[in-house]
Amino acid sequence: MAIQINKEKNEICILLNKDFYNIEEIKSTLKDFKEVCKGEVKEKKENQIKIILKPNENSVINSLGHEFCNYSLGLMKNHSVV
Amino acid sequence: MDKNIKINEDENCILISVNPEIYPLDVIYSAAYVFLEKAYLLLEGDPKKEIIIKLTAKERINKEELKKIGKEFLNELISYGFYKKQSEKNNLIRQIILQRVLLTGAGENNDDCNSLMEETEEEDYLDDPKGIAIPWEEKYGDKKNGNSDK
Amino acid sequence: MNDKSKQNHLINNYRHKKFGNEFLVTTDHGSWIFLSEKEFEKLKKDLIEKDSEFCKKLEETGIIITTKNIKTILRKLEKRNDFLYQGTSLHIVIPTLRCNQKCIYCHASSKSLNEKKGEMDEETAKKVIDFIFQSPSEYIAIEFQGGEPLLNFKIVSYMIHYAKKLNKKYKKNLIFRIVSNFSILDEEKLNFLIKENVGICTSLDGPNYLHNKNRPFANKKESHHLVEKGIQKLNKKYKKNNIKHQRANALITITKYSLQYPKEIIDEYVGLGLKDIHLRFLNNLGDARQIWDEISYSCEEFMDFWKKSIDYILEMNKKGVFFRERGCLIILQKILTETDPNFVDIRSPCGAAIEQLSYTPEGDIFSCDEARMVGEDLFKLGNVKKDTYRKIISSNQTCSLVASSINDCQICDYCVYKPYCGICPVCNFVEQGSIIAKTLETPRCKIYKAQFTYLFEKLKNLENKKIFQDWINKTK
Repeated sequence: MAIQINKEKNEICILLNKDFYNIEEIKSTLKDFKEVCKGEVKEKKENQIKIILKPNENSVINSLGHEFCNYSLGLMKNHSVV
Repeated sequence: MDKNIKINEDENCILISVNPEIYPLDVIYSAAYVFLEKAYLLLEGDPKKEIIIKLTAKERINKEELKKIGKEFLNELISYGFYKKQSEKNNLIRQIILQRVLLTGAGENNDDCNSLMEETEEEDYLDDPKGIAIPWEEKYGDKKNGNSDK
Repeated sequence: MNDKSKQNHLINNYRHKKFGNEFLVTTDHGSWIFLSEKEFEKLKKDLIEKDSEFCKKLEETGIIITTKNIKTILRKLEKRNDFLYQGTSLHIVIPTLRCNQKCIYCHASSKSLNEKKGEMDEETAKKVIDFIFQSPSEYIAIEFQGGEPLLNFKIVSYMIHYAKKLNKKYKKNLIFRIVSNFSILDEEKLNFLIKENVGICTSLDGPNYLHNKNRPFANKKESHHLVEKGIQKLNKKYKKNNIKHQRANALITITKYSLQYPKEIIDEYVGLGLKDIHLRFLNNLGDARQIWDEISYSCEEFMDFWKKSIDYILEMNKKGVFFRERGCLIILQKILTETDPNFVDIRSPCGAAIEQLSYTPEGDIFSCDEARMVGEDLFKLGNVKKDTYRKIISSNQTCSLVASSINDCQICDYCVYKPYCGICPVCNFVEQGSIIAKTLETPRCKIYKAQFTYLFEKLKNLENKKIFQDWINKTK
């Protein structure tokens, strides 16, 4: 599972494939999401990027991981045809 | 086509398998961008062999609607794949137009644009550098076995 | 067998479409010809004998390239792209978003009269004019829109005076236009606008039952009688002051309610002394989005309305009443002349930034007025308070927008109407969520294709062709 939610710890763990997501864009996303959550980014072995998010409000915990991934993917637009 | 699409009704998502030799990554990014508002997307797989796009609908929808999203995504891939090919084919035209726009907008006496100006205008069309005006017969000679390829 | 020794030409790059028993063939430099099936086969296989009538016909139109016509072809190609050398000439200024009307489809999403925010102040107005004069274009058209621009008349008059003052130094060909609902066009404002030579345009959706349905006042009162009165008053003033180069103009917005009244709409325009009408497909912008299902229509429904309107207008012209449809005029100018009429909506690249810019009351700069109505950051190029013209034009954003409307890079490259047509990145974004769209699926493509086909068919008739030529001649 790319997105794992731990409601008890109020934490979201995201694993993204480095072949498709750029660590710089992910750091940029974290900056843009700073009003919504705190987080850290770690490069793992096996070509993965690990992101831990701690939402400021518990109400967004279900959707935050998805929104974060979408935003990061949106920033990859610079690598797209258009 | 349907074997490229796997529907998971419980998770309200669809998995689309794409061959990166047919649809390169930049085309996939462009297609994915169009869907960011209506679905959550994740990219996985091997960029050389098989790219898997997971589309999770933001609202709860049924199997048919999930399938429809998947097929729409495939259509977007074709649309951007075509756009990429067409852009490559006519890249020079696009470059010339953009250079002209920049030159006009930035002012033709601007030193920064002089190299651009030289690049676009180094060939005088009256000299017919591409040999457009040369008659076919003169250019290609009298080849008895030649085809008139079009 | 094709004897190459009898040829001295190259086949130009052409596109084609079947028209009944004939083929329409067009080239990038805008030339066109109808060929019979037999002739088209000859063209395809390059069985064109030197000095034959067929060869001469193709050489005259530039379908084949010879030493005799290459300079003409290149000159025409250059002329069609002349606008790339000009710089931004049309500047749409929004002095206020407030409006006293509540049109059901308001694309500008205008604000109520009591709204305190969204008024352009003098400082911003000055900076807008300063910015406009940074454009290298020798032609500058400043057009005031809104909301209702006359609600901020103080700023409109300030900007006109300041622009004229600046123009003493820049010496550009400077013109002004204003689009107003005429409801607050009193004597003072009217005299000022006439004195300053401002072109005045209003909105008129047809006879009162149509116009009032689409364009009521915010207090739900009817507005048609004020538009009617305003047009008559304006034309009277021009006549009285012997001003021959100006006349009242009107714009129409076609909703679903309009479709059953093509003749009545045309008659309303003719009755008020208006000389033309522009029948455009409704855009899904602004307030129209909220009631889209109620007021929109299919491409087929629109084309049915449009064809009935054009047929009616043509009949009128045949009976000696001069009246034009502006959309047709624009297309016909592209087909029948060497000069691009500079209607930025159908041009490649479109006018985004390079031909048109739009300025909000806060001084934000958008790539065109439709982009301003959408309001997305994608189309916001900067602000007059901190950005220069050069910076805006050479930005990556502008380049992306321009590049996205170059139809050589789209499926349009295979379309017979490509030399005359263009793409709108804003429409693409609104309909499909991206400035690069699946063009064939867009209503714009379907409608323009249908309109081009209709007009090319009409051009086969000499009487129609004469009328169309007359329309073009009276534009010069």
